[in-house]
Amino acid sequence: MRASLCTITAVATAAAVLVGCGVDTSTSGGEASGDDSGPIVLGSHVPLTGPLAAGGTQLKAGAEAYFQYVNDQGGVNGRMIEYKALNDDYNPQNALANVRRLVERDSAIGIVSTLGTATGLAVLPYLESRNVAYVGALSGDSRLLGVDAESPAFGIAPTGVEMGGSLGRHAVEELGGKRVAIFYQNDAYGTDGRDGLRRGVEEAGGEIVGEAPYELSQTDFTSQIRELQSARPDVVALYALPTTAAAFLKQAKGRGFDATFTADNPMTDPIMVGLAGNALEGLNCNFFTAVNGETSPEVREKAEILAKYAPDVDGGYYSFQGMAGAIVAVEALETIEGEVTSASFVEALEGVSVDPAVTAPIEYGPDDHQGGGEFGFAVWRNGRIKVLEDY
Amino acid sequence: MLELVVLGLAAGSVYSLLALSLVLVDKTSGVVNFAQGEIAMFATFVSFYLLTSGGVAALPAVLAAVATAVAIALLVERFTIRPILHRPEAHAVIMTVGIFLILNAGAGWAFGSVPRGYPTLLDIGALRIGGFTIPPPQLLTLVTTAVLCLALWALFRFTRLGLAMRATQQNRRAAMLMGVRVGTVFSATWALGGVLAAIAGILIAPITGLSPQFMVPVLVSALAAAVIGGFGSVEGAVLGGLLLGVAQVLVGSYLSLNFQEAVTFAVIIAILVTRPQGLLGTTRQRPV
Repeated sequence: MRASLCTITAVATAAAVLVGCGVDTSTSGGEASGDDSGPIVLGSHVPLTGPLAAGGTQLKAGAEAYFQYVNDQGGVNGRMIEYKALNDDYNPQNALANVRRLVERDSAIGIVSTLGTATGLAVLPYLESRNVAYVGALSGDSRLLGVDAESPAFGIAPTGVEMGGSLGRHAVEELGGKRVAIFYQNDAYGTDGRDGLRRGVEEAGGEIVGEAPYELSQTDFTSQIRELQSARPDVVALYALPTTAAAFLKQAKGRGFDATFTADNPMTDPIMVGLAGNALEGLNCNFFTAVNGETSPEVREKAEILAKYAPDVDGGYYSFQGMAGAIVAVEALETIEGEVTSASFVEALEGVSVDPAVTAPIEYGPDDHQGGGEFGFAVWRNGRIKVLEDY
Repeated sequence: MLELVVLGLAAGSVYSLLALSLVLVDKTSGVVNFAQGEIAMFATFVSFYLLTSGGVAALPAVLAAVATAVAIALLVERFTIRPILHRPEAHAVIMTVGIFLILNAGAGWAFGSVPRGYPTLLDIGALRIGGFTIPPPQLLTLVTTAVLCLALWALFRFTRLGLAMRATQQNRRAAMLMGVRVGTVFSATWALGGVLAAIAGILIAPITGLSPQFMVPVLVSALAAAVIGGFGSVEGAVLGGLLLGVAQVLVGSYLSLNFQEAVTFAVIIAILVTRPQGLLGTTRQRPV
């Protein structure tokens, strides 16, 4: 009995250690940011394990790479940045515990570059109560994207409605789609995009001829393909996660679905090449983060920073977003003349106007904490993403 | 309609394979192995690296994956499950959930969490039959599942090992008294479960992409399939998976896409209300 209980306990403990503990990945050691000579502490909660781990690890890598680069250049006003990204396993309770620890124990003055809606919504009230900035959340919920200027949330990504609207207008005006069908994830993320697509298509004079929602757990899209094919659309707009979009494209093209396909920004990520294979050919996308392989010097410079400090991570949707959060944070910190506190950081953020290059330009104000709004357009050709129109 | 049924059968075939592995293990050792999907995931990753970085041909890569799954299954059975078989069922449930978490987190650490495409093993064009199309991955799934079911039937029907497995499943104590090495049967059944799980993973990976999470929704569907068919029935596991796949496609195509999963599981609940033991399961009686 003792042996079996020991075995169970050992297995359970090993599981907890591997999955549940936070990962403290400071870029440098040092004292709390309350000390003017010590490092400035910024924090993050990201899913480094679990279903969102792919995006979380890349987001964290992008932010860390930029902070390390800044530290190597001498830091911000002579002070190093200590970036602590803790694993929340996409668990809201873990996220809140992480953020409390970061703010109360580690004296973090801001939370930068996070991923997750449920986790973000769990921490936002706490951060609002402490007036601690929440910068660059990657989420489908507009409350985390800075729509409320009274909240210390500062967005970089556009809302799902804005993203879908851009895609819808482009589908009609540039892709010649009078009849547009939508394939979307059946949750808040997907329905926001769908609502934006509906609005964008109709504003541009097109018509929504079919809609097919899917559940996140689905692997077979026979029903959705049948539904959309029967509507005979000119353009099919995908508002889905990369793995799902890839599976849908492969199944749709495998069944001879003849239409122009368009999708939102995450589908510009290089992982789509491996996931979708030949089915990726001709997929149009909008983007507000730089696409990998862009030739502009500014984007190349950021891509080189990523390559140097995070060589295992490709430049793409998640890594560039993480980096953008770091760029915005550094831009704000550089303008603080007095004591660096959470309050002065929020105030500084409200004066930020910066072009991260890896995303569309960002400009905040006391009444405007939203980023995004400008989009570029690209298409996949022969396994490479080709920019048609920059943001 | 025929096209939808065929494609539904293809989708359901993967559920059947994984459900079969769950039921085989449960029938022999009385344990529902919640880590079965993660064993499949680990094995599929091994085959992925052999196929892509290793330049290994498809068959050896698949065999290596199967060997990996068998090894993990045997380790799990021998060192974590067998010692607690005499304990209440909840102990085994917690154990297999713990193994699930360890394998899932371990895969994220070892292989990374970024999803990647899995190579198509059957490099032919889509098959056109009487006006509809079956894509290669779905065709391979259907054929492989049929062959494996036939092979399993032959194993149980014509081999000593199969006879020993059946005897152990029916009455473990009696089998032991008749000279069956029950420990060996446990190991063999878990190994067989690993084989089926690995093949299920390799069949679905080209469709869904490969990541540490990719078998989680498949496991949920496989558990549902095993319950529909009757958890004690091998034939029921196969039938349950096929029915589930077809039901999902038909419900989505003719009833509602918005509630495709919900309506499908409502149908499952309706089946279980009228027949709690599942379609082909039998009522178990235990002394209290």
